[in-house]
Amino acid sequence: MSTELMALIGKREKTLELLKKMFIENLHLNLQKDEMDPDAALFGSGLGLDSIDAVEIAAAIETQFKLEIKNFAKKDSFRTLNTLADMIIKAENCGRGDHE
Amino acid sequence: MSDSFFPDSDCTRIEIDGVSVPEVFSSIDQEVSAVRNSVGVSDVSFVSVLRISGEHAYDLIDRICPCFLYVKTNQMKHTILLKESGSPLVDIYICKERINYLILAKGMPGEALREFLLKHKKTDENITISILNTTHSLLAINGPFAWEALSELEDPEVISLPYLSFYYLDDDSIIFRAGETGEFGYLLLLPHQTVDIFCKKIIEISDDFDIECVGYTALEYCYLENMFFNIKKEGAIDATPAELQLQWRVSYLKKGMYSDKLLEMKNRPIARRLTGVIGKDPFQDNDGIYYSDKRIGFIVNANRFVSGNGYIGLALLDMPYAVSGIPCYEIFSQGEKTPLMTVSPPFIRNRSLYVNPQVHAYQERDTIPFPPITG
Repeated sequence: MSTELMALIGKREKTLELLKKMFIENLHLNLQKDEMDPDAALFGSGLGLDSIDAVEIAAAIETQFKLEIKNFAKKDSFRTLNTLADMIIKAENCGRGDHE
Repeated sequence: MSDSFFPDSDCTRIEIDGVSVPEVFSSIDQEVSAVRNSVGVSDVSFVSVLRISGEHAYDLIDRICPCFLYVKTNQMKHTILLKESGSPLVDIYICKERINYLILAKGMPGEALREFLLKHKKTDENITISILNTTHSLLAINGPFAWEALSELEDPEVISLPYLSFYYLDDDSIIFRAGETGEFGYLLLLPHQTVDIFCKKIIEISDDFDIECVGYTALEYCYLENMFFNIKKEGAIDATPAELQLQWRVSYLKKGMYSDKLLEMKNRPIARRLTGVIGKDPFQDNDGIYYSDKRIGFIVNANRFVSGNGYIGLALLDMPYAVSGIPCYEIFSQGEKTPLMTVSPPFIRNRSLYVNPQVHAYQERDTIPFPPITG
């Protein structure tokens, strides 16, 4: 495996691990990290979160990853753990502190 | 259910679990577009509908379910029944009525499911199992304005129906809110004798909402675009709930049927996982996926990306390769290796995310600031 691929995989896994830890701690989910499917829906089915959880998570992401999520209605980022990770990784790669 | 869903519509037909349903009406692209942009109506009578009644109905369902049955009256729980190997057998909703339970099931004909349930009933338990498909049809209405069409067709109350809940139109007819396309989605359980009346009403308002008949094939395309579990595709590969990303449908703490097997699988490090993939060139089910010359997985479910460009699929990839955002894999299809990228489903931005039933209307859809559906 090339170092480049290892870095990409490592970055994704680390971001997902941090997100899972954040979800479990902030939302008091009765789940272990390995029970959280990265592509399961956050709202509706899947994890079954609600809009209040969304606000909490957005605030936690801003703190943990030092991002400013200006628009909470960036709905396609808040669909799964992986789509959140996409948003975070993209923002970090851009080297910007704010992201819409 | 009459053989023609809309009496004047032509369609090819397909048999799913012993039930003949429309396969394609106009074109797959047109039907998927209706689900994504307006309203699509489908005959989903291949979904088995059973009513479990009697003093021990709860006990039986609790015994066979791999999750805790924390479901209130008029609510639904989406779960799976397991095979002895721990992989999915049937894709089900458990629906709690005031006294009885309904099971909506994909992947097993009604009679076979009834036999399965009876096999797990204790001899002294008082339970009756009725197959409602013999007297009722099941229709699906999907789309970002499905709520509006249904509120005109049947009842304005449908607008406030929460996801995974249901209510009774009358003693014999039920509306469930349970879509699987990523758009607003409803299931209508109607007595056979009232389906034609309902279809006539749909035809009367079809121009107002650009309603299309949507066949089974287009529904499968929509399931894939949103990574909704397809028992006929992902369910056919004998993978674990963790590998299929279905752990949210089970509980490892629940003691019951095959729970030991489930726990045993959980305690093994996950070796492979279902991952979204996209490529410009055609690929199909069972094609191998490679990193350099190393085979790292295969395609479980693939289709042309109707709502976007290229081809999309769900691939079972070995760990650690099974992560999103990797641009450097290849797929070997029809004698050729072409680039393949892993992505995070859903593959599209569902328009329903941007529609507010309290504010919006189909006639004013051009004023809604929808983002691009892909990209």
